[in-house]
Amino acid sequence: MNLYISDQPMPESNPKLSLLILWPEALDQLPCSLFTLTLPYQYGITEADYEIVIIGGNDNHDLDTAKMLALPNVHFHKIEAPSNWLRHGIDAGLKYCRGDYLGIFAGNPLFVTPRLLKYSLMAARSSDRSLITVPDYEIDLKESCNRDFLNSTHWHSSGYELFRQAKYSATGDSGFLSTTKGSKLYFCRKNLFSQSHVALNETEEVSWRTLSHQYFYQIARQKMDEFYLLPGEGSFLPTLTGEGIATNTLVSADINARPTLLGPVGRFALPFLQRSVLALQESN
Amino acid sequence: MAIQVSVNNTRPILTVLIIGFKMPEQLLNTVYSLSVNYQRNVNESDYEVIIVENRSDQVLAADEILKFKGNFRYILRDEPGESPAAAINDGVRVARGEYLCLMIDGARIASPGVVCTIIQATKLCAAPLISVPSYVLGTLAQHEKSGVAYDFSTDRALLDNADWRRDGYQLFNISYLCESNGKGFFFTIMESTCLTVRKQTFLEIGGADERFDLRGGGMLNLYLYRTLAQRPDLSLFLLIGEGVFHQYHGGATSSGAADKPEFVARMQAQYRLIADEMYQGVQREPVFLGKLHPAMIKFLEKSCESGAVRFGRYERNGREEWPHEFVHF
Repeated sequence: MNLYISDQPMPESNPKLSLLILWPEALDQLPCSLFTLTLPYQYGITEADYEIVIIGGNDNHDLDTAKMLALPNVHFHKIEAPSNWLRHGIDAGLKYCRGDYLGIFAGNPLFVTPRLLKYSLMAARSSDRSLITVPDYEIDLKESCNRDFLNSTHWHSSGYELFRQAKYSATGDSGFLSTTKGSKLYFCRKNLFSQSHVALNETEEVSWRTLSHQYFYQIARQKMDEFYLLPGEGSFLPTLTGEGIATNTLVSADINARPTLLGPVGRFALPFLQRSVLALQESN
Repeated sequence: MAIQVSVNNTRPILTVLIIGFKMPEQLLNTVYSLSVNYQRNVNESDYEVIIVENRSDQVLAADEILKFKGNFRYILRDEPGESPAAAINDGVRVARGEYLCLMIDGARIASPGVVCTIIQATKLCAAPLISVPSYVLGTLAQHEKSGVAYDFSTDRALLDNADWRRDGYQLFNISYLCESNGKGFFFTIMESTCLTVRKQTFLEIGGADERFDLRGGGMLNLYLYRTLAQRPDLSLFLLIGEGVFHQYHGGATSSGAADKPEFVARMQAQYRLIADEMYQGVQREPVFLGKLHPAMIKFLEKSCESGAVRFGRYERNGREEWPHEFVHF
């Protein structure tokens, strides 16, 4: 494996949160996902609160991406690996991420809502062993209105409008208040990811499509002080129908612990909370 | 008279301050609900409970507190007037907690996660303002129907059947959301009957304004909430999974007394005199925090329904659901 490191100097103090993006493609295909993780789209936090570590296999990028790569809390590391790129990428990522808490974006261009990082950081303050999750949604790219919406820049100043185009992901079809079967985006202490990485290396093949869920399954088996859920925030995966990960292909984490809800719920997220409450009522 | 029960020497994170007057049985229920026997996931060193009671012919049997596990102090004081304002300030003076949880009406039973969730909120940001939703024992119809006698015996029967001492979340099954916040969690919070803030912040606003000298303090509680909720440096948390449950005690505005309309008018006049405005709630977006017990889900369901109507109306009118300055940036 060859490793190239960006010129960006690392700040002296460690941030609380690291976002690890594993992206083997040309960086100009990492578009809006990176945008939704940077300021000023994210608000209520500062650049010193978190860092974005991108492990890439290709450093081709466009001007917009270059601007984001120049931000003081964004760091790019390029790796070349003839095989098992993902595994090497995670190794490198875990090495370079300096935050106590970590979230991994692997291969999927997830879009997130504007206060996701603020409330994740807030939850991370409350204890050393919290698992912080955000509901998963999908945006169906077969619908032309959804494609038009994402191609426009209107939502860049009003990120909660992503909810308008969204539907529950396959893992959350009974709402997010019932048993949690998995999550594409979650945050926990970095050492839990490291332990899970070792466990996965020993037992099974790590695959792009199910990486988040495989880690989630490993991490959710650990004893946590608190299991937070941010009901007013979301992660959104643009997908063609049928492309999403089917629940029945996953080993379900089945977290039965009652989550602690944290954060405000605005008008765009409310319908999903409402449906989740109804689903929970029915299951009771 | 002051009784001190098992006070720990370490400084607690939280002081819960309860004010009582002529409500011995209800006050004792409230005190029990704040004991370590009943509250979950906390221990004695985490918090203290200070009960300040204005002397009357019906005072708390203070020895009863000795039966509960906790970090209690009981202060019985003489009060020439009818207001709890001076009692609050007396309690604040001796409070050792970094945070102060004020329950101005001692007739409110807390749900079992109130203390641990308040403490959790204090860890989430530097300057929280934490409110616990208020509920009323019984049904709205029972309280509103004229000619139907509703009194403490009705409450007592409800409480006895609910087995609340074993599982306080059963209180959600025999209560309704307090009318001042009756539309639920997506509307402006009009007042808080269980409000937590740093003790220092409470002192900065001057404590309880003793000009509120009417029975029950008049609109003192609303004044305190509004004064604190208007401060943009405080983050407003609403503990949606918990509640404080009002027991009937013939209080200043909850008893259905014949002079209620006239008394409410006096309260409003006094508020206007002191605050130089008519009372209105502070429109600001609350940060929800808490676990949802199955017994409270129906309240969240109703809140979502009414919230959707409100948000839809605002959207049609081109308005944001919360004023920009009070959205949490």
